[in-house]
Amino acid sequence: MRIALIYKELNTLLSSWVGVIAISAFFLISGLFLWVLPGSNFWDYGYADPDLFFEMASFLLLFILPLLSVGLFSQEFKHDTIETLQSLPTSMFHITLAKFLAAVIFCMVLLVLAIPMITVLNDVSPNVPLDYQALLGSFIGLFLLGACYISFSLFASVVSEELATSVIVAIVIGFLFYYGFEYAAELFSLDDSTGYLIRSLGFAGRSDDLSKGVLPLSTIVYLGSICLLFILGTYALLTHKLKSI
Amino acid sequence: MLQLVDIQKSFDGYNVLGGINVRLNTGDIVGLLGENGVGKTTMLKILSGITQDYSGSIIYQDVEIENLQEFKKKVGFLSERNPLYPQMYVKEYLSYIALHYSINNPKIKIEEVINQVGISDKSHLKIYQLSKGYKQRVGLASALLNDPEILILDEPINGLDPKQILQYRQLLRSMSHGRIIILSSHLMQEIEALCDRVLFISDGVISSDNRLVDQDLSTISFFMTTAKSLDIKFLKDEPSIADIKELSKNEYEIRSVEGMDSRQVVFQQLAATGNYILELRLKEQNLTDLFHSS
Amino acid sequence: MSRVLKIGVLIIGLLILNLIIHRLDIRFDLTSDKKYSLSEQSKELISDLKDPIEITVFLDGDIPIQFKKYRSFIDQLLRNLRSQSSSIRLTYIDPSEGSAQERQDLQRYLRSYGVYPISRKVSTKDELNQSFLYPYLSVSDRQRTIFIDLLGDKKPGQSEQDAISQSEIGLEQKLNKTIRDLKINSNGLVGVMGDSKKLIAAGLNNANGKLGNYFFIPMDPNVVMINIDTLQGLMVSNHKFEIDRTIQLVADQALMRSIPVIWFIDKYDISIDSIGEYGQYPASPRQLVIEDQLFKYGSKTEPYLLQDLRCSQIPQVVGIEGGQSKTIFIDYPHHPVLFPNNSVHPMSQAEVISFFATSVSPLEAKPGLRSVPLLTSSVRSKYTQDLRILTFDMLRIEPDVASFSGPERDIAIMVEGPQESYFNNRLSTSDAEFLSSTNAEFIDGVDRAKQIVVGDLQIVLPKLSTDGSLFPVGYNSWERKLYRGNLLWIAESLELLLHGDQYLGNTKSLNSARIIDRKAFDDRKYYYYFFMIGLPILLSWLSTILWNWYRKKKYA
Repeated sequence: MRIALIYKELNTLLSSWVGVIAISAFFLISGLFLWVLPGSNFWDYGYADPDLFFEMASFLLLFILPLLSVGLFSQEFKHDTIETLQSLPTSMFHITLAKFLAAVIFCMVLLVLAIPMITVLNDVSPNVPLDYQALLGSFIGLFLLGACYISFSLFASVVSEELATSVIVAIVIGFLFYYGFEYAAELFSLDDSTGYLIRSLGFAGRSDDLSKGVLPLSTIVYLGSICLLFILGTYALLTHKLKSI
Repeated sequence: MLQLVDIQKSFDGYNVLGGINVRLNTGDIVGLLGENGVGKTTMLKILSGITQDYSGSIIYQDVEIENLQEFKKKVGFLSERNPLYPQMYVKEYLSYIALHYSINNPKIKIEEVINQVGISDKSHLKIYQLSKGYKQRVGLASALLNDPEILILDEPINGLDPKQILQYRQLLRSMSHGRIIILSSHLMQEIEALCDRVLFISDGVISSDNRLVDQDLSTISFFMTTAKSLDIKFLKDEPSIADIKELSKNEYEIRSVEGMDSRQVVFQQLAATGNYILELRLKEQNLTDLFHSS
Repeated sequence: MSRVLKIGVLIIGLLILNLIIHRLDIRFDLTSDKKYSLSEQSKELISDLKDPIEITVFLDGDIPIQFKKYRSFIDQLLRNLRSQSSSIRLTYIDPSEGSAQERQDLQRYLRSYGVYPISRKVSTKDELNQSFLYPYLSVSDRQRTIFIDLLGDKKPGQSEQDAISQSEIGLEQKLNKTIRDLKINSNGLVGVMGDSKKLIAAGLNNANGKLGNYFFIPMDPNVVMINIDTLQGLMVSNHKFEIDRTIQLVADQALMRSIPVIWFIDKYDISIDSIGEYGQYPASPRQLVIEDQLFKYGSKTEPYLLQDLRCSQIPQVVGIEGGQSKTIFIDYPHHPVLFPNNSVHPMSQAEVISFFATSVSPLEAKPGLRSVPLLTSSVRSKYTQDLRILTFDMLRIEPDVASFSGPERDIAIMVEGPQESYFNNRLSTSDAEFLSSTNAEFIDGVDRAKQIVVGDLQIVLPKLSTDGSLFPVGYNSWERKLYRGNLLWIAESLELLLHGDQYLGNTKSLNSARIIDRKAFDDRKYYYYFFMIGLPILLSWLSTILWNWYRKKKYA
């Protein structure tokens, strides 16, 4: 795959104000909820444990990442530039992958920007040092979740060329995976194992582990599978759509 | 040499292309004519590798195309809608496109195409700041970046002013050497002015394939008004006359057989029967007629 | 292959892969103390299970949000356990489900185990409802059921959230212990010798729950010596100056036979009653004969009385009002409220009431000995060094808070390691005769002996009510309040002595709670706000501006 493809997508993300606004929203909202507004902040929590941040972030990214990444394809459709991409000597699959990777890199940058918030946690509880190993685990976990949200957004960006529609589709898919299965498992009074199975399809239970720095291999493989399925789904939908143009 | 063999394409069960067979030679500037919706754009998209879901085969330089991405490297395509990234600078856009091709010195090449299409005075702007004509040139510039062996232009002069059109014609003519240029247009005089060869498409097939230069020389048609009515049957037997139509009372349109001039024969025949010609007007043969006759 | 088929194969492939990986149950616990993984001890314990164990979760149904996280933690833990052995069965019971009759039956069943719900108010749009929660697990084998109180370690004044997170950390150990309790199954015999041995044994035998596995028998020294092989442990109590020499000898020989011993000693034989009776009471510490023996084993008892601002209260009549005497409750620092020390061993954090306690400290110069604090005062404590006469005067004046400057003092310690017999080279003829009369040999040393020395007998001594019946151990008749911690602490201490090796390995860090310091934050509030919110935002805007500038420079 060509670096050119990733470069172009990153360029788009980096030079547009949407990215900046999304990042600002992320830090403003998480800052407010974690440090100022009552009910969910660190003072109520009582511990300077980064898992509170990671839980908040894993929920917030559900909204922020779609804002960033639903334009990836829908804008190409809107400006007909999808045709430009088609005429280039590059396969659509590579283009899909490049868009995904570019958004993932952007997500990584966003997570790196969150490091100051974690270091403040070290300052406000100096007696017990932060568990950096666990922190790394939490970052990897959040990153995996982020990648999944991005794959949803990528898919949604092919569904409609209207940004608003795409954002809603991406968030709905995200919600379904985050809470839907959790609620579904509770809704039906299913017996032990079936309930587990349905619950395990959701993110809510899994993000709990991830935010603590525990990475079950099953969760890694599961999130990876979801990403793969949605990337392939995006590609399939894309080629189907392009056929009829 | 580019050859299309039985290219077929349908959308949702509706047959758009019903078997295109044509052979295009290097150096040709080929015009594609046809009413809206007959499949011109579809054919160009297939040729440029955008539409991949079709049946039939494309043979280029005697080899059937299998690696589409490799073939795309030899093609330059300007789409009818000329899609561009509005937020990019002209040069930024061109260097992005250039990254996809193995171009030796992309910077120089970009400058070259910018000069070629005549946008050097606007190349510092963002694309959305350009007029439609300039955007069209940017599109053409991007199609030229990879020195394409096959240049495909779908409605290329859309939005150009007359002066730009003239420049455009010159540019294409200067580039035709060693290339196949295929363009479609709904403006017949444009094709007429530029193309060596015109393909008419109707109902998804090539209904006629004409070399424009020969066409002008070969067929002589004329309108004629006579004093008295004349016996058409008697003229039809003349070997130099291909067709004769009675347009109204004492008004006729006569088409000579290719390569022959029937005017003298008609004059002699009329004189012999005591009839005489009030008016004889040579019919200017153009693409419109070809379009209608095909 | 058609596209649909390909996609189908892919999805099925991914599904199978996920199922396999799920089965394998591999987790990368990146926390440095492996907080969220089963300890090796648990794995060993669980994989050894032969009979099925059923774990029932009563925290189910519509549970409030604060408990959701804890529930998921419990799920995770139980799932981990189940993956180790097919003998573990999990059941979830929602106590609010079923018909009214069923619910009542369940409540009755739970009450029979002393399990009561906690209530919480749930405000909906129109009304304030009350919902009941059972934060309990039960662990059962074929014969017995033991309940685990999930919030049992909640300290007074501690928020529910804190108690929950505290409880999360200790839950695995609690489960382990309970499962082990079920496994041990045989009733251990513990002999009780010394002063008030009958009361002590009666108090402990009355206790259900954690001490239910043991049977405490008040015994004379010769009986102990004869039955020494059948005993799992020994308790020795002493508050009188003199002590029967045979008690000392038997306790010594029990230690030499690796039978763990808990010593309860009272250097001050005082009670409030005695102060009340005489108005004042000479509080002079006595050098007990037994102290010399304990000194030999490596622990030293302090001669001073402990006073602690973390203490229980006593009632004081302050006047007559309307013909009725008016009573108020006043903090009484001589009745310290102690807490189990968690620094080395995890122990349930429940208040332990003590009366006129003295502290115990290890002797440093004993090689090979290891000592572990088990019960500790607060930092707001002090020794009463100069006080010899105890009166109630101290109740009339505010205590001098500044003098309660700590440090924390240990009231009970565990000492383990090699020991030489206290009677080595000093075995008298009568001692030898006593041993031979019980058919016991004298043993002069042991590689490893375990003992606990407690600086207050009252911790284990039940009080007698006026009608002669027995109050539970830990009951404070002044406050009319039961301190559940006393029995819990004794049970866990006994557990530590008897099964300490399994216990010891379980050393997950309990003190790694990163308590947040609001002051540290508030001092540099605006800097922090800028640093963690403003800076990232600024950086992102700056990078976009710079990037666009770069583009302009390059392309325009």
